[in-house]
Amino acid sequence: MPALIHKHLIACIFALLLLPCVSSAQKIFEGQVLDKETEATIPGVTVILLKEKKGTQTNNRGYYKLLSTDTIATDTLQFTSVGYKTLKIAVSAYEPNMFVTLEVDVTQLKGVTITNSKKKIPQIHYFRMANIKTNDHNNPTLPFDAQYMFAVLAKAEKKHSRITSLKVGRRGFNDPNRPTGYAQFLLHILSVDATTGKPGQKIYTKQVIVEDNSMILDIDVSADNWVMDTDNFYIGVEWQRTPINERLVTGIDEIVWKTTAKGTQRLQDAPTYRMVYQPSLIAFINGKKYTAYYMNTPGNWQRYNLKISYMVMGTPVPYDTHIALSATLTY
Amino acid sequence: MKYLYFIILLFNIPGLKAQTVTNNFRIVDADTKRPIPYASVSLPRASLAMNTEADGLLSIPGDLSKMNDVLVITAQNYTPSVSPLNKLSGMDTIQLKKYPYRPVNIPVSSTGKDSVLNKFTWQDVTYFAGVHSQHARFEYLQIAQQFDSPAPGAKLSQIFFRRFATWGTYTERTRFRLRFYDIDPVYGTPGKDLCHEIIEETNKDDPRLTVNLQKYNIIIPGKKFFVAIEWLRTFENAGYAPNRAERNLVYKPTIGILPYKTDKLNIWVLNYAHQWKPFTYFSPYYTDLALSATVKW
Repeated sequence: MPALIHKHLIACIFALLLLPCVSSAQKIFEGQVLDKETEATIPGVTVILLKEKKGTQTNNRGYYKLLSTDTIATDTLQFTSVGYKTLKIAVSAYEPNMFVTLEVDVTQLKGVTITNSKKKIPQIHYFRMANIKTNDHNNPTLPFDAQYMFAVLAKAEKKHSRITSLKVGRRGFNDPNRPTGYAQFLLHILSVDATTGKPGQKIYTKQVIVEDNSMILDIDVSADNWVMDTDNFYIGVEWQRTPINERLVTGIDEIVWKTTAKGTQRLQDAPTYRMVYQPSLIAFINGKKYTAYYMNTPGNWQRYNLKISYMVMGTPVPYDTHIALSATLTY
Repeated sequence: MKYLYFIILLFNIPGLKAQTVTNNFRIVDADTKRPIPYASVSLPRASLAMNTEADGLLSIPGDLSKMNDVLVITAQNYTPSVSPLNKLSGMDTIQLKKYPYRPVNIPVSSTGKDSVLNKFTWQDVTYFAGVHSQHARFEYLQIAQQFDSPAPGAKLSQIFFRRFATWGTYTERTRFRLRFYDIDPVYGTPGKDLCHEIIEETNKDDPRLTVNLQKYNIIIPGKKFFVAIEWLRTFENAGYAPNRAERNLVYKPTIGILPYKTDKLNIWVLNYAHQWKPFTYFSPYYTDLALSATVKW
């Protein structure tokens, strides 16, 4: 008997030794790389699977996608970029569409004079990576069903501000952690309607096309010279209702009824499909004052007022939400 | 005895509101007189289509002599029947003639190689065909992917496709048929069936489906062939798009579209008049179904 146990023990040890060499199935590694302090996306970061020896670089949105055909369970993802400390993440710790943050490497910046690094950049409706990751609202198609437009009121500190960039957070329709690829939409700056206070005329418009699964879209409009005469204006997203921008989602299950010679019979639940449009925006909890509207039927602006309830001491407490849509200004 | 009604006709064909007559038909094999199960029945002008059930029975309410549409009935291995509705008045049986199946008579390629045609990463699939949208109604009986085989005489061993489904979702239960076609030498569309056996698959909720075809011995005579999904337009297989209404019925499964562009549109659809047409909904962007085929050659 001891000989048998010994034999099994050797077999187990041998299997354990082999374990690092055992490969699992195909896997996609993707996500965005951000600056740890500013949360700006970093293009040109080299991303490598060290053992599989596969690599890629982040695109201009800091997005990378690496298809591992023979994933090694003990492999490591390495992120390197000039001016940043190298970061290593075990593939076992990888999460779908995760954000990776790189820390500035001051030792690589010798001879560079950094002045006023904490200078405040005016941002309206600022949101952080954490707001996207928290994913407070678990129904991806509500509150606006991604049909026509969404607009949020922006109040600049003074007139004649210049909008330099707009930032949009997006998520997947069917899998919140994986935005479903291609998206095209319009970003607008709209006037405030003097009578109703709702979004008015479109002042500036920019089309955005995204061909990857980025969750943070930082859109540079500095070259478009968007100067505002007023201190109040709306920032809007307009969904483009084209086939290539459609996404299929299932709605509430319904019952199928069948009429036969014997009468009407209930058969079974059935899916209800509908089309929504890219991008799916992100709602997150924020208690600050917020004026926003959405349009799900043409010409009909409705006040955005989504509250998310969390249980506090056994009682549901509603919290106000914001949409991950911000603007950076210069004066 | 079960009768299946074209109840939607009530809302689509003038003069039917006050109908009192119901016309019952049995769709049968012309030789054996036995019912043909799940025959595909369509009215192209009214844009209506459905499948009979296993008993091959069909009921059409109203005065057929006043109707202008044609009734198209098709079933695998049978010659399609196209009859003006007003000529069916007083009939109770519609016979379909079986056409003789002639197996492909060419040498089977045997280099021992396997090739996966139209290979794709299933996670990349985000577009689906099979439901109505604001741009177009989806009114097709079958959808097919065209393939280029590496050699004549290759044997089709497996297909894999992506559909819209979420694991654990009961409502995505589906039953469908697979069809395999040679290329029509004149029109370049799907032509003759390459398999006379009825291949019917059921699935509960898998977004990716693999079907092993080894046992069917499907030999591809030339270098082009088609694999098609045939929807069984039964009530058990139905869903709605975009909301619950008779005219918004759609049928499972939805079929994935690859988010890549090739130099040629390879997707074909069979309309209610039983004509194959290129599927241009995503043109000029996307050209292929999320459907791959493995061939041995």
